[in-house]
Amino acid sequence: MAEVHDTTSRSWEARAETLPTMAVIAPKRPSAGESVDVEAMSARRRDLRLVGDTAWWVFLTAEFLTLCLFFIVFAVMRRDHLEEFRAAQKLLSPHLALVNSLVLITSGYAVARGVAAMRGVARSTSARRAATWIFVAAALGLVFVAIKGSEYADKLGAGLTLSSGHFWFFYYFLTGFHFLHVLLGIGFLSWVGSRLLLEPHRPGLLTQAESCAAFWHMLDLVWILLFPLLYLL
Amino acid sequence: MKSSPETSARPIDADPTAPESTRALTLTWLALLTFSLANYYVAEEALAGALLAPLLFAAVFVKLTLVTSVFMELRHHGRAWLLPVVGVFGVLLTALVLSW
Repeated sequence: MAEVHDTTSRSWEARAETLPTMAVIAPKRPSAGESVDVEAMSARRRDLRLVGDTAWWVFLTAEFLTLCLFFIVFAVMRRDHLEEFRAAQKLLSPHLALVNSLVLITSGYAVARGVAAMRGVARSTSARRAATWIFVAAALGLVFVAIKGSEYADKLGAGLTLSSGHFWFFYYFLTGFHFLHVLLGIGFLSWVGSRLLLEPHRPGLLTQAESCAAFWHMLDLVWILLFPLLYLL
Repeated sequence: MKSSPETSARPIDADPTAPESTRALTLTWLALLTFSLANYYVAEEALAGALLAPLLFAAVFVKLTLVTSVFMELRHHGRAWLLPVVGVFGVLLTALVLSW
């Protein structure tokens, strides 16, 4: 059974070399007679290093912070149009949203297990096992899409559109933004899963899988916020 | 190229890129499911009254922290970022509670 070895990305020394040179982590030039604490420097760099591609994390952070602003705008609008929001929220299906929450959390778990399997944490260093976890996550993503799609069809069928009121604008905008990202995430997961089966020794595959997992977990974070905001409160 | 078990097996404790243990992942997954079910039950049965929003937002804070620290591995890799990230969650949820 093929094993996953990503020597280009797994080596800490190799990754440390790729860290950006920033004032905060740049080693201070030792003066004469001063020794360099290599261990401390290494630990500091380790504390700053994230799994996956650092640039990808910057992108995810920017997306998440932008959505956070919209969540606050939603809360303010709700306070100003409380009756309208409460009446509209009664038309939603909290039980379907609960199922979607459980599905998305479980898919996040599957992605995390897939990445763990790639690293061989449980001595299960098989690419096939990692691919199975990743495909399970993608399949659960499809379940989420199907449930959400049926909810959209139901609401649109009832004549509730983006322009039906303040609540419905935010409902379609926030969940639609998340929905499109889930579709994108399913594509990423499918790509990683297929590479694991076809090219398990592909250079940088583990880093790509970690980046993909971070993206999927970001979708978890957004849904964890959306679930109570739109459906429960 | 298939490497030998000697070269592929890395002692977890000695490896700075040590991965999250599967037990921690499973416990976190179960905790997240439990929180989601509890949130739904408390909200649907209207058990918390006026405390519903703060209670649910507190649960959301715990869930967000669990996902970032365990699933996204910030408690092992990039630990320096964990506190700022949790701080952002705290600020966001405080703003939501105040404007609710």
